[in-house]
Amino acid sequence: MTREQEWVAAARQGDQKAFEELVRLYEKRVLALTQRMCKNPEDAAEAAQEAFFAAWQGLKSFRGESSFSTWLYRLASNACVDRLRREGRRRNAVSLDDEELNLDIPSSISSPQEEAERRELGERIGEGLRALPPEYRAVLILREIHQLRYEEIAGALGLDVGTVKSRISRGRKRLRRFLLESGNFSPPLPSKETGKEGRL
Amino acid sequence: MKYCEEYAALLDLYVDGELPAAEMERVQAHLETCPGCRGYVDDALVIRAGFPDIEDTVVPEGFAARVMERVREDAGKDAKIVELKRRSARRRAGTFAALAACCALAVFARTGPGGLSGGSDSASMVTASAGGAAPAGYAMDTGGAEASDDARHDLQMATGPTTAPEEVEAAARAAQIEGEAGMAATAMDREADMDSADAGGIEAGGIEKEASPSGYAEYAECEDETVSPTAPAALPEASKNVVCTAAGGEAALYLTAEEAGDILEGYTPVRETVIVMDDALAGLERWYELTEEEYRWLLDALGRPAGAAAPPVLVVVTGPFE
Repeated sequence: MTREQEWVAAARQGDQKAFEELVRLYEKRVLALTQRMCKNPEDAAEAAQEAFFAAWQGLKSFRGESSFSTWLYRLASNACVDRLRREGRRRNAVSLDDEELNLDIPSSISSPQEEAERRELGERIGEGLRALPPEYRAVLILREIHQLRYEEIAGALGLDVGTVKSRISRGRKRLRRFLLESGNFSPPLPSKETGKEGRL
Repeated sequence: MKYCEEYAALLDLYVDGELPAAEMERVQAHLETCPGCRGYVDDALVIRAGFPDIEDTVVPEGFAARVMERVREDAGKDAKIVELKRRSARRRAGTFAALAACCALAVFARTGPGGLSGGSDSASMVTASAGGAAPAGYAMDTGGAEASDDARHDLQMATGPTTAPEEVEAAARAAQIEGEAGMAATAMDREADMDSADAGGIEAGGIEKEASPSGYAEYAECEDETVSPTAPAALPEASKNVVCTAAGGEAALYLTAEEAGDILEGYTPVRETVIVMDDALAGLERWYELTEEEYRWLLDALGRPAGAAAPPVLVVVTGPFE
């Protein structure tokens, strides 16, 4: 049994310290999802908190059929979608304010110019993501940031794998078109190292 | 340059490594000869590179602490419910052990202005009731097995002129619903019956929620049936009734009649619960409302450590009573 499994088992019995360990283990991953699903950092933090609280309340019914992380992502995604729906009812529109997207690009490259370009691209990607329907946004985030396999995404979002394939393909194509049309997308050489899962 | 429609469905799977090995090789071979598809794959990889890493996610300060604060609040609620259930169960168990067969008396009266100062009148009221002549509007049960035979009548009588016949019937129906669960008890209150109805009424099965400012107390109180023995089938329905909201609060102190002695003699109970078990009246609880000052005086009289509670302080004495 891994340490995480031990914490899950203990938390199911009401062990708050064990649950806190799980919160700290997953807070970045959950926030990485909610910060890109929600329209501002405040909503993202609240959605993440709701997800963890829902996990605490639902732990007794968590049967371990999926991994804890997958289950948690589903709760986080649901919390975000609920918020977006409520917000949609209130405003019927989604803000595309760049400053709200919180899509900082890792500063692992040395050249200030490259870093600026990547930051710019990251901002445009964030903007493009915000322009996508939430269902496309969720699959792309789980794929590109959380690096989940299609099957895991399906589990996290309660979809079948075929739907995940379709949404990733359509979502990515829409995002690509958005970047091309915005004029901020000028792909560098194909050999660019991404450091992330996926071929090439 | 556009990508090939034939490969359009495969390119994302290829980028994501979701194709079988043979398909991966086929797509790779195609990319070497198709700039359109290669362009799409390159774009997809650039997009991937543009996404931030999880490690770059900014966690708001105190995030985990806020989550755990909410978790603790939630756990605290659960613990309170469990504690009240446990206390309620303990109290019932003690009652059943202490009360094999007894004459029971049900008297209800609001503590008059001044509480203790209302002493003599209130006391006489109790005495009169104990003698079997319940004043109008005061609950009284003549006790023993005989009482259950006339329980419906007693309930009617006990609830007094302020209680409509429909309420008695409603109480009987509620009792029928919960009767199979076990213990039968009645609690009648001249005024508080009406208070509880105003506060949201009694759900079938005796559980009242939300209406009272101290909902947990009602919840725990009404959970009593979970720890009680099976109700006798022959018991009239009315006497199976459990009314659980008469005083509408959580008792701050539980005493046996022996512990209480005559300390509360000058007070009149605001609520009384008759406990029926195995087709016989098994005991009685008297609920008293005290002011904070009276409560401190009571603790002092009992030789117990001083304690505070928000008024009105509810004190429950379980008897038989003389």
